[in-house]
Amino acid sequence: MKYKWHTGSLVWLAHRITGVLLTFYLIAHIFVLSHLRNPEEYNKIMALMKNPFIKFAELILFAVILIHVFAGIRITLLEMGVSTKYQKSMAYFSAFLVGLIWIVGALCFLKEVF
Amino acid sequence: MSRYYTFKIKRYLPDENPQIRWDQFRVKLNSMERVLDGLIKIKETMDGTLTFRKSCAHGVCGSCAMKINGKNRLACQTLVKDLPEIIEIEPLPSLPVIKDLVVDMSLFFEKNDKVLPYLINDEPPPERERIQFPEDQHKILESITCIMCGSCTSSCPVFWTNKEYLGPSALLKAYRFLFDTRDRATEQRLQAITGENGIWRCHSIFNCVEVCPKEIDITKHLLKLKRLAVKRGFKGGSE
Amino acid sequence: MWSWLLHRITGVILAVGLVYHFIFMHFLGQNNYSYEAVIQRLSDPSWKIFNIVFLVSAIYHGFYGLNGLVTEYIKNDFWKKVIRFVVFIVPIGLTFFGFRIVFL
Repeated sequence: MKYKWHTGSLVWLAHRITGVLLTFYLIAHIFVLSHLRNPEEYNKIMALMKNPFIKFAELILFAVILIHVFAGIRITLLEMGVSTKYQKSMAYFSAFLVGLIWIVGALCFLKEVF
Repeated sequence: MSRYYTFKIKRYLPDENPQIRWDQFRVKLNSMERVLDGLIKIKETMDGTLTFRKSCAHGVCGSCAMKINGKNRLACQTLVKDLPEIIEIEPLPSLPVIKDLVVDMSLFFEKNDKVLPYLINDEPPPERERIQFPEDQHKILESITCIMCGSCTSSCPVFWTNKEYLGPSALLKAYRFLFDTRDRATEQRLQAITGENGIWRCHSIFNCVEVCPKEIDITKHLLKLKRLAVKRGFKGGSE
Repeated sequence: MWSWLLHRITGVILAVGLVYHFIFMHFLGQNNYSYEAVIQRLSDPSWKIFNIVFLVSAIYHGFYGLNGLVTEYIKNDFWKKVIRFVVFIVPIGLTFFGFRIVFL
């Protein structure tokens, strides 16, 4: 069904999709860490993580987290009583912050890699 | 100044094959006319089988809510001059279509009934009316202006996929009575709206606010309901 | 209501915790996730508490969200029950594995 998108519905959709992705990532994260019982296996998996493809995926993960966190902050602020007149400006400001933090974070992250 | 508009209308004719088709009509309308005028012109001069609801034609009754260019609005309140030359009209989304632009609103009204849309006060009635101060009236004034056209509930992405959800309209009605100083059924009302498919399913998407023809900030009211429910929960009231 | 409120509270905990998690794990120092470093950190009780709060919050927050999706998107009653059960049992399992990691 086609329906006009608005700021609120776009943020909601992004929040939703990133939320599902993060829950599945959480399962994967706990699975990887469960290898801590065995140092060899853990080191093997951590060596895999040095793969540039994985590094790139981690950058995407960082963006996904930022989007989810900031969408969550916006909703929580609204629920705590911040006026709904600011809902759109909050969404745009969040988008700006997500972009900014992602770029800064990515630079730090890449410094760590190289 | 008048110009031609192309009305692309999604038809649903249960007795014909195929049942669903898109029809196009070229209509000349002046800048003062509304989508509803176009529909009436089509019905009177081009295709008498075109079916849609209308009554007051002045944004009060809420009968002519439909999806116009991808967004729910009242046909009687939408000037054609504010729209592009091609006007796409569909029935309200996610409600069962009866014919053309007429949808079955019974699901919508069922939700409304669930929130007990009437004053509950078992105190002995005073000699004259139950008094309400103007300040108290102002608290619920915005929610009272709802005309129950169904634009909001059928624009809600949560309602699209979960027909059990009470929806913005019914929850707004709940607000209207919960914040009415003359009403005494707070517990009962909170019980009715805090179930699995009640207020917690609202994710502040604001689609309802975007479409409300009375410009009610519905989400603002639902957020207040959430805060009221949480406050009551801490006082040991209903879940 | 309480489940919803807890979802918001865990959300706030996660948002704050993540800042710490990110700065510590990725932006400070080089070898924060080598085997030795992780094991050493896990033996510190304050890290244990942080990890447990973080873990439980994340699991609750994530699966409460998924549970909401089940309510909103699954129409068939049978599948609704099945998936709801899965969404209930998987986080319990995950919490168990998570605790095993923290109390290595």
